[in-house]
Amino acid sequence: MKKHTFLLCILLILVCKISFGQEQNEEKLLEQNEQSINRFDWIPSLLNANSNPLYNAVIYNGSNIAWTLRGERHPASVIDGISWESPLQSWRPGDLYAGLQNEFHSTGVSVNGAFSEQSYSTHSTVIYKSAEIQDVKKILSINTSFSNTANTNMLKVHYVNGLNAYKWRQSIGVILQQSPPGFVVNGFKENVGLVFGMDKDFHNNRKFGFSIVWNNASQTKASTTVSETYALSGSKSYQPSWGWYHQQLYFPNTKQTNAPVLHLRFQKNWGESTYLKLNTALVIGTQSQSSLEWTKTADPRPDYYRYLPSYILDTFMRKELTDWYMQHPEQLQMQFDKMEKINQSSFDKQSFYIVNKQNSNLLLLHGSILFSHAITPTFYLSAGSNYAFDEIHYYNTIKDLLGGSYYYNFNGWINDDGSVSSFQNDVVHPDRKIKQGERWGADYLMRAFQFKPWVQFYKEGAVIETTFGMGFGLQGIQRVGYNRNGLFPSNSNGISDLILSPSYDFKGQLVYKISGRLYVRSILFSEWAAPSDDLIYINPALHAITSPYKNTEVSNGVDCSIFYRAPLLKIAASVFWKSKANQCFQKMFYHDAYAAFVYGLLGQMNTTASGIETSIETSLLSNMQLSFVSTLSKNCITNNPQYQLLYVNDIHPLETGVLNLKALPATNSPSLVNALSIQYQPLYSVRIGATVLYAQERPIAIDYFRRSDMVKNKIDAFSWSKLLQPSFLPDVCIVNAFLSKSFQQKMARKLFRWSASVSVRNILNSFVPVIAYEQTRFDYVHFSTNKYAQKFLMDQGVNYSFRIQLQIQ
Amino acid sequence: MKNKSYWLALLCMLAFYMLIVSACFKQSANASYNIRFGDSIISIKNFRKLHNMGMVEFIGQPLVIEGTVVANDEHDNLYKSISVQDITGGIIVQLDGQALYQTYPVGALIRINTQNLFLSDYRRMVQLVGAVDTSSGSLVTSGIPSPLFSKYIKIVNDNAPITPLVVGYKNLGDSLQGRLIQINAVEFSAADTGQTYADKKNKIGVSRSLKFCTGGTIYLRTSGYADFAGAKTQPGNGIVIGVYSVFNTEKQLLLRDTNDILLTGRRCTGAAWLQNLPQNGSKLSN
Repeated sequence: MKKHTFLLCILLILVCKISFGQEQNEEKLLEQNEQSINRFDWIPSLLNANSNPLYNAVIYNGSNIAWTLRGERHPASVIDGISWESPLQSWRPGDLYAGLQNEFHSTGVSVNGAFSEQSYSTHSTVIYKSAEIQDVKKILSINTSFSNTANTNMLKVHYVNGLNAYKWRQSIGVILQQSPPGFVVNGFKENVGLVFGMDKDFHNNRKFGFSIVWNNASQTKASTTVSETYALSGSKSYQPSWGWYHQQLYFPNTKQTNAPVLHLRFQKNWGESTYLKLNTALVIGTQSQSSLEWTKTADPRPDYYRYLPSYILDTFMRKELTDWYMQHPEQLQMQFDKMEKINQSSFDKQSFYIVNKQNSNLLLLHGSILFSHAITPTFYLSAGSNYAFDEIHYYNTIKDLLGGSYYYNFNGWINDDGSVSSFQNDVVHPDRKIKQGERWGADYLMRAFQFKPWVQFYKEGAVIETTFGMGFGLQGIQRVGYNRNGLFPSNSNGISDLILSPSYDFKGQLVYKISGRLYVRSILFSEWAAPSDDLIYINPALHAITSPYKNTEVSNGVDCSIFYRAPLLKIAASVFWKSKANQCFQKMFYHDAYAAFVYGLLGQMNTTASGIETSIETSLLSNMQLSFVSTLSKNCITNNPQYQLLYVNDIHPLETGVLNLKALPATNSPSLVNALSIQYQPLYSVRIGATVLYAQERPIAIDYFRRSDMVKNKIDAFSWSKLLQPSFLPDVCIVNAFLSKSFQQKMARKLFRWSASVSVRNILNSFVPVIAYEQTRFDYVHFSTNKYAQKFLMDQGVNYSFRIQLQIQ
Repeated sequence: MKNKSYWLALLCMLAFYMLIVSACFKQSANASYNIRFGDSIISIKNFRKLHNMGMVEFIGQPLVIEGTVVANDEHDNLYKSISVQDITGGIIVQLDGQALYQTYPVGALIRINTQNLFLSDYRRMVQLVGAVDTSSGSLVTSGIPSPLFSKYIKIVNDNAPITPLVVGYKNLGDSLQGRLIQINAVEFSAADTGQTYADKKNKIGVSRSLKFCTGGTIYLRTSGYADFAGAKTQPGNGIVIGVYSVFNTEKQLLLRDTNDILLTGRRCTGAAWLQNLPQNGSKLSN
């Protein structure tokens, strides 16, 4: 016992120690605001699929076509009772676990908004996972895989100690993931992950356990680009975000995570039908991302619109430039040697180009309480609360001066108003020259708390089952500024007011059992959700001024489903309708007509998501299973919301009015997706599976602000009518497949289980845009819709993964 | 036996892993390319002779000009262009890029392969351009596209010496276009003394008249985007250095920055300019 306590203390100390441990630049803003793309995180893992065919199809096959359920971008995830949803948005919860996701076993998936006994949520899809050690035998498993994605090489070792003399169960897992620069031409990945957990049962009615999850990862980020550069490069894998530097590959766009998580779990049972679960998780660490910054110099991005042949009016010169790119494809990458030369050109080596690192120091404490009690054998009550105390400190450091010796602490994201202090990031220490590794730019902290108690009741009858749940929430958000900038000297430094926002929700479910195999279910819900920090503050990096549209978002929904469950045939069909009112959105961009940076604020937008989801699972033969999933949905905006354009320097309104968005798509998930999966098991140890997915009517994500009344009054009727029509991507067919073989042998009283698998995605090498959207920058002067073309990120095409696993028991 | 099996299993997996990994690394290399610039260099004076005012000439032959950059966009008085001169003459070269001064600083000796470029003029100011477009009914020129700079322009030397050509009013002529010149014994006219070089607030370019003590006027043209546009013109008399240009028949001088002006001497045209003194009557030298 002493030994284990000692080990626990050492680990805790270790974790604590480690975790503390202007005009010319307008377009770079757009790049920074673009979505962070994690497509290379995706590993073909059909073998890990869940039993729900709809969930499997969406999560494991639909990620690269933005296939989402009911207008929700991502399924909610609850790990050991902890949801990392936070009022603070600018961090990446998924990266805390990254390659370690598979170390957690699934404890259930709630789809179609169904109730779960594990928690209360109004999300339509919730994934529940736990790190609690269930095995009582010693097991060592070793996994290695090789693929042509970012997780090129993977080695994972997991050891479960089983139940020891003191009734502790222990497990430790280590994962190494790596992709060397040059193999996947778009980047690299280095990831070392560790999971350590201990669980103990006390007197068969209490359980205590903890897990430490530490993921130390660094990887490149992909960038979107226009279709013209894909054509010039002749490659779907083209990426504009890297280049050559001293004859080596250089990737300025990266992201890092070094933030250990400590999970504590406790459960107390009173009999078989009453229990209390207490879960707490703490994160102390850093997440960061780096990107190229530049000031008062030429735009370094090779896909900048002015550098492309489409920008050239003269036919001859356009052809010459096209030929030039064809002959010199390296010109379609960033030229870091040239940047270095420019950085060294002035007498004191002032850097005009740098690689900036945006750091987020995380201090997050989340927890949940769940009490469940059977009041009668058919009437259950569960109540609980989720709570969160989050602090994130944001600041920048210079990662690389690219050959220069300093960079001025100036803000290049403002409009030149002639004032000598406007561009100062710190008026207390003006004109500071920043050296490599030093802090610069915005320096502020966001602080938030959230408290969400809830209760749900479940009544079971012979024919009817009813469930009802309700929740209340209160959140508070505050900004603390650590520097006084030149634009907002009185509003950038110090502690802002605490902004409190309540939230409420109700959910009811009725199940009518027509027979033991056939039943119908209806769900109704309403939710008043508090806005997150990115919607409350216009730009917390500069000031504490809040948005005029920071209103409560109201959602209502209904779901009617029918289920048939026989041994050889399972059918489920759902009809749903969900509305969201009072949504808001904001973005900073360069406005051509004002020739200035502006904040675009949108408010009071209403959307609906409605449709039908069906799934059929059948066993054609004893060794062959077939499943078919289909979703037909319509996600659209139902009103013409209001908007404001504010001048970045002083937040004065430049424009207010209405955006003509009614009937335009609210998401870019395909309207109709059909997925057919087949799994064949010719032998007990061999499994073969394939999924064919066909997606139709996938809209390109729209830019809201170009559809304003102001544009309507200036643009010709034909162009305006085109703006009011959604653009759709071509229909796409994707085929994914896997093959696995396993065998086991017994040697020296040990059981050796071998399994090998190969999975291949996009076998047809289909042309699949993973991301497709209109740029926020628009030609507000001549209203040419081609000037700032749509941007895309293409799926890399056929990709594969070989995996071998050895388990010794 | 137990240990043996265990290590055997590990060894197999490691071998598999190494085999695949080592097979899949690929070498990367920075491709390089060389641009061939013709050996036959033509003087800028002779090159300019290819142009007829008001016309556009396509350069079909591999003609190369070599000259020193004497002005660029460092202080935003020139926009998307540089001025290049050799001992025979100068010319404005339109380049469709930003921060040109970082690549082509003043003093850089460059060679320009003019094949496939155009000679044109804007209000009689001759310029070398990348493309011309007449689809709108009027002549619109554009610079050499930024990605093609390295195709057309080669830097020979970064620090070539530059000496402005000292000229008098009588010598000002089209042959000096694009050249760095120095004019002596000049002063701003009374109306233009103590005024801003340009309208910085509204970004509007302004011409200020510089009077020669010996008679004659040249106009100092400054862009509203120039970083010194808001500075005040000096009251004295002296030397001004700039790139000679024309706007139809008007003789103009383009400043590179305010260091090119040294008007500290006593004015030669009396004290009429005093009417432009500030109300508070701040004391001025001379």
